[in-house]
Amino acid sequence: MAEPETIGELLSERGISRRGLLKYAAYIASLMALPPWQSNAIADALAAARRQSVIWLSFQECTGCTESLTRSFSPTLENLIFNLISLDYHETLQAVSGEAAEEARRSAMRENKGKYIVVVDGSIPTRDGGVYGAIAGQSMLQILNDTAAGAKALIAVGTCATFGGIPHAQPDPTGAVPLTSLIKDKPIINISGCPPIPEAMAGTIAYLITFGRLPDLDHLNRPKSLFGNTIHDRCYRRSFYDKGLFAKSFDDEGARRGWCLYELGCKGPVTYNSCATLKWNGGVSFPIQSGHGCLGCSEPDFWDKGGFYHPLSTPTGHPTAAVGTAAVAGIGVGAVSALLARRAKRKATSTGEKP
Amino acid sequence: MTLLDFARGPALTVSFAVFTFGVAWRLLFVVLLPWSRDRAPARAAAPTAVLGAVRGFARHLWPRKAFAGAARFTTVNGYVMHFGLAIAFFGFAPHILFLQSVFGVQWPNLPSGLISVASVVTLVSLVLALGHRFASPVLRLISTANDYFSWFVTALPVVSGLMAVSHLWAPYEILLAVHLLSVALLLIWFPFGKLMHAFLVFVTRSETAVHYSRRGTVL
Amino acid sequence: MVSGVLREVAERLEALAERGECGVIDLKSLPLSSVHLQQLRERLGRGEVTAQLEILGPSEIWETRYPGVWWVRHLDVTDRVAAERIEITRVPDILSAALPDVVTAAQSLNDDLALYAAPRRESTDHGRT
Repeated sequence: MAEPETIGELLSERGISRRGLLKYAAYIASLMALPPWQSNAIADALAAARRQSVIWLSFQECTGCTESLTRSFSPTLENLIFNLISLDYHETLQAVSGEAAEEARRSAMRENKGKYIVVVDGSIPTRDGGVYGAIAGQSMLQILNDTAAGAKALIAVGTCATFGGIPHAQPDPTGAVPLTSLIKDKPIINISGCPPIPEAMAGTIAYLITFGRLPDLDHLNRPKSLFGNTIHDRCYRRSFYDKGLFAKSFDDEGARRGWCLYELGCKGPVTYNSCATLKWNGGVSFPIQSGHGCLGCSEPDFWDKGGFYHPLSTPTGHPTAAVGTAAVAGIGVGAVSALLARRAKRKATSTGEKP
Repeated sequence: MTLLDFARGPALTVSFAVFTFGVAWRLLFVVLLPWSRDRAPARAAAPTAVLGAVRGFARHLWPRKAFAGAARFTTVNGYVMHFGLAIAFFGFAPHILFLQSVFGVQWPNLPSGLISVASVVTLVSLVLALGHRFASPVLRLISTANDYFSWFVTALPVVSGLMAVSHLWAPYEILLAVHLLSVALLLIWFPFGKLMHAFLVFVTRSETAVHYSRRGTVL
Repeated sequence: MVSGVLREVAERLEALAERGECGVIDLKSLPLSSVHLQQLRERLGRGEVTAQLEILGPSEIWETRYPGVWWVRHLDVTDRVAAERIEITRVPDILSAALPDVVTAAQSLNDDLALYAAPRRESTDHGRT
C-alpha cells in the first residue's frame, strides 16, 4: 500500500475519523486562543497538510522537556500531535543510533530542504569555539548552524533553549547561549518553561502545521495565547493577595488555608505562562496549588534572580560591604569638613575677626 | 538584566550606600561643627539642657493659638501626610519583607485595603501641600528647586506604589521596578536635600529650645 | 458574566434564524468559574437531543432548551475537559459523518462483503480437511 500523502489519509489509515480531527481542532483552537468558528477550517487544513518533518536537536539539557512532551500525555487527543509530525531525528526517542542516526538527520535535511522545522532543546555552549558540547564529533554549535540553514522555522523549547536556562546561570562555565543569540535569519518561536507545558509545545506545532506561519508572539518570541498572562493574573489564590492574606511559612495557618505565597518568594506576579489555567499532569495541579510558590521558570535568568524564597519586593544585592564603606567614608568626610570648619574658626578668632 | 533585576540589585545597593554616606556625613558634620559657647549665665529657674530640649520639641508639635489659620492647615496636613506615609511604609506586607531583608526584624502587616486608603490619603495630602505652596505668595517666594524636588521624590514612590498594587497601565514587573527605582531616587536625594529634615528636625528644634530655655523664655 | 454569554447566544441565534449564520462561543477562553458554568448550563437547560460520542475520549453534545443552541463538551480519556463550547447551528458538524469517512466506510463495507463472500468456500474447504 502506498505511503499516505496527507495527514487526513494517515489518520484515516490509523482509524482516527474526521470527527477525531474536528475534536482535536476544537481543542487546539481553544488552546491557542483562535476564533472558535475556525475549528472546521483548522481540521480541513490539517487533513490536507502533509506530515511536518521535524528535526529535534538536544543540546545542553536534561531531557526534561522531552519527558514533559512524551510522558505526561495519555495516549489520546493531545497525543495526536505525533500523527501530525514526522519526527525524523530525536536522539532520545529514535531507534537507530550512531552513524545511522546522523544519516537520518542529514537525509531529512536533504529531502525537506527549506520545509522542515527544527526543535531545539537545551542551550548551546559557545566558549572556546563551542568545545564543551559535541555529538558524533561535531560541536553543538556546528550542528545547529548546519541544521538551521535549511529550516523553515525553529522552535526553542524549554528555558535553556529560549533564554540559556541553567547552563547559562552564573558562572556559566561553557558560555551557554539561547537559540535566538545564534540564529538571526530564521523565524524562531520560544516556548519557555522548565519544562514547558506539554500543551504549549503541541499547540504551537499544530498551529505551525495548520497555518504555515508563526502565531502572535510577545517581545520574547513566545506565543501570546500561552504567555499573555502572568501566573498571578490567573491564580486562584489571587483574592488572598488582594486582601493582604499571606502564608508566612510553608506549614503555618495561612499555608493550610491556601493563602497567597508572595512572602514565601512566589514569582507568579512577574512570570508569564499558562500553568494556572492549563495546569500540569493532565490538569491535576500546578506548583501554587500544590503549596509552593512559582519559581518563575519561564522567564529569562530565573536561576539568578536572588533566590526562589526571597520575596519579589526585597533587594537582591548584597549591600553590606558597599553600605559599610559608604558609612566609613561619610563619617570621614563629615569629620574632616567639621575639623576644617573648626580650624577656620580658630584662625578667624586668633586674628581678631568675628567668628 | 531586566529593569526589575536592575532595580532590585544595583540600583538599591547604590542608593543604600549613597544614603548611608550622605546621612553619616551631614549628621557628623552638624554634630562636630564648632559651637559658640553661650557666655550668658543661665536663668535661675532654667531647666537642664535635655529637659529644655524635650519640652521645646514637644511644644513645637502643635502651633500656638496665635498662629491658627495657615499654620494650622500646614500642621494638620503635615501630620496626615506623615502618618499616612508611615502606615503605608511600615504596614504593607511587601514593605515589611523589604525592611526585614535589610534590618532583620519583622512585624505583622496591615490589611491591603487599609494601606491603599492610607496611600491615597497621603497622596491627596501631598497634592494639597503643593497647592498650598503655589497658592501662598510668601511660600512661593521662599520655595526653591530643593523644595519642589523633595516633594517630587516623596510623591513618586506613593504614586508608583499605588499603581503597582492596582496593576494599572503597565505590567507588574515594570511597575514594581519603577516603584523600587523611585525609592532608590528618594534614598539618593534624601541626605542632600530637604528630606534630611527627618534627622535634622531633632537637632534644629532641640537646639532652638535649649537656647531659649536657658534664657527663661517659655516657648 | 452569565447573562453576557446568554446575550451573545441570543444575538447569534437571531443571526442563525435570519441569515443562516452559524456561531461558536468558546467557554474555556472565558474567565468562567465552575459555578458560572453551572449557572449557564441551568439557564440554557436541556432540549430534545443528547448525543454521546466516543472519539479519542468521550464527548457529550446536547441541544439546549433553545433549538439551534448546542452545548458541546469534549473530554480527554482522563476525563479532562479538552474543549467546551456553545455552538449555534442547526446541527453540530461533528455529528454528521464527514465525506472522507463515508468514502472510507463504503470501501471497507465492500471489502467486508467481499471477504464475507469469499471465505465461505474456504471454510468449507477447511471443514473438509
